[in-house]
Amino acid sequence: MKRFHVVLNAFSDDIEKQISEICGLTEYLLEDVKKGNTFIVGDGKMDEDDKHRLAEMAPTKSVIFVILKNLHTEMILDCLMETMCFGDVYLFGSSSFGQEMAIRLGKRSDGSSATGCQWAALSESIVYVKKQVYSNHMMATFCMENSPFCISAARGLEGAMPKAGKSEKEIKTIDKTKDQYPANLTNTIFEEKKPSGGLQTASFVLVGGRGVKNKAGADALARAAEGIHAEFGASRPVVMNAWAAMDKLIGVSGSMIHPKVCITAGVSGAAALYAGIEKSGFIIAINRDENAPIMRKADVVIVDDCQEVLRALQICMEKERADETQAD
Amino acid sequence: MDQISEEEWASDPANRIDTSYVKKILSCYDESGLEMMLKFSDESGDFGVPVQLDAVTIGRKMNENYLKTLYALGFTEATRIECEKEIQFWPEWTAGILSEFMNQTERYDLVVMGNRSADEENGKVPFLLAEELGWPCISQVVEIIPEDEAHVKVRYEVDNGYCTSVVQLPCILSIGDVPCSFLRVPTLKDRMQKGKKEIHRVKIEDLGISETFEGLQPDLSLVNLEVIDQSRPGVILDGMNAEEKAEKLYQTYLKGRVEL
Repeated sequence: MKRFHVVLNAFSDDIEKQISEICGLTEYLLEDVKKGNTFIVGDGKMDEDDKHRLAEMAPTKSVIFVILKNLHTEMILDCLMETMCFGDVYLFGSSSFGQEMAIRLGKRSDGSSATGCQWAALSESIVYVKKQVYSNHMMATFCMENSPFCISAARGLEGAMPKAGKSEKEIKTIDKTKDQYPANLTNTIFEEKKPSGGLQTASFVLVGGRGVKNKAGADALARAAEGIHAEFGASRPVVMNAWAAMDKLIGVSGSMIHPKVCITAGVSGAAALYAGIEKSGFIIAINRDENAPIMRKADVVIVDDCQEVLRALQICMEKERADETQAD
Repeated sequence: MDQISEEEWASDPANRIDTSYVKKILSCYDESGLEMMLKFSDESGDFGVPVQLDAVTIGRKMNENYLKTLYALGFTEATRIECEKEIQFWPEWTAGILSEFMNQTERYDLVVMGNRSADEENGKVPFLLAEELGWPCISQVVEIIPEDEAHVKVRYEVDNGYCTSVVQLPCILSIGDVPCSFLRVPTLKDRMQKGKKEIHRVKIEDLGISETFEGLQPDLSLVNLEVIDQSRPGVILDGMNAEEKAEKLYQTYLKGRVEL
């Protein structure tokens, strides 16, 4: 019987998200597959309390910590190849680390790899995966025939976190900090990203699209978002033209959000953006073009100038607020 | 891909979407990579680092239009590896072809490529090529700066920030999301003078790969394609003007859903 293994990146601070993505991917896979190891890759700053906390979250009983000086993919690949079992399934999160590891490990082990997968299942000796293709217009089902099978999750997947079991975790540590590291990457300076202003957790979001036309239009929309107490996000054309900051990007390359309410303004409805907002509870689209694709993908549509509608909405909400305050 | 109408998103029995009529454009990642290399070449003179820019594409004769543009922009050599067949969902094949080409030409120490294509979105070719060549690969690159003849300085996005590192050549750089990195436009004079330079053509068989791909198998075999149904009710909110529509929007749909 095949086993599955999980590889997590503890250099990043989103281990819970990585585990949730992997659990969302493998809801059907894991019924027929035995549990192998969870490899947690991190640095020497992890103390025993950190290790126990992380181990408790791991989906498998056996947890192996791989301690490195820095996030060096060759060192991690060497370590995984040493413990590799052919026929097994290796699971990674959706990040660039997860994708790179899945691809390289699949190639290096003469197995196969699939990235950005939304679903995985096992039938006899074949693993089936589903992922979005053609700019997120279609869902493709593929079969992977060569093992080991290395699969990374799609962004935005959410699965049930493993229940904390009563049985003790079996924890091992592999210390690679004293090893000789390849010297092809040196003088590395790290800059931490500014937090993306709460897009991931906001319950009300306003998303601006190419219809804002320029930086002034994007700034006006950002002010409108502030006026209606919504978080501001933007589509790829807006961000790539530097009309809004990169951390405002929504879609397959940016934030995948799930607010209660999402208003899109001047957004055409391109699949890459829509993938980032499709989990919204309620979508309102404002666009001058009644034939824009977004108009068929929203709950409510307004065919009008988005700046004018949002200005009017702000006034309306301010009046409502004033009336409520007076009534109190 | 967004040029294809919703009615056309119906695959044929062989599980393929016909995109032959869709206007081809450079992927935004490839475009960023090309502009970054031109900028790198512009700056390298100040560092005393000689740079030769070459471009390679695998595909049909119509792709040569882009190569002509690159000649006009100052690229030294442009090569098309001839392939009239549309190859999809087979990144191992693409990486294998590029690897054979590079092994035969033996003159490159830096490869820059976009991190993924619009149709497959697997991001595999740069890493598979790195594995074939035994070279390191840095992904999500947003800036390339000359350092010296044996190194480049690279800024790249990681999970929680950005890193800047000095990278020893040879290496592969896979380009990520780079704001404001549109490919410059050549002048008419450059198009007339340089754009007509001969494009090198290489046959796949010359790289030791069978034209009918005998003996080669992709990692993933396509089993099924389905349209993703994302439709919602799309109730149209009418009104005489923006103010009336905004009022209706708030009173009917937002009140109780959002905080004031």
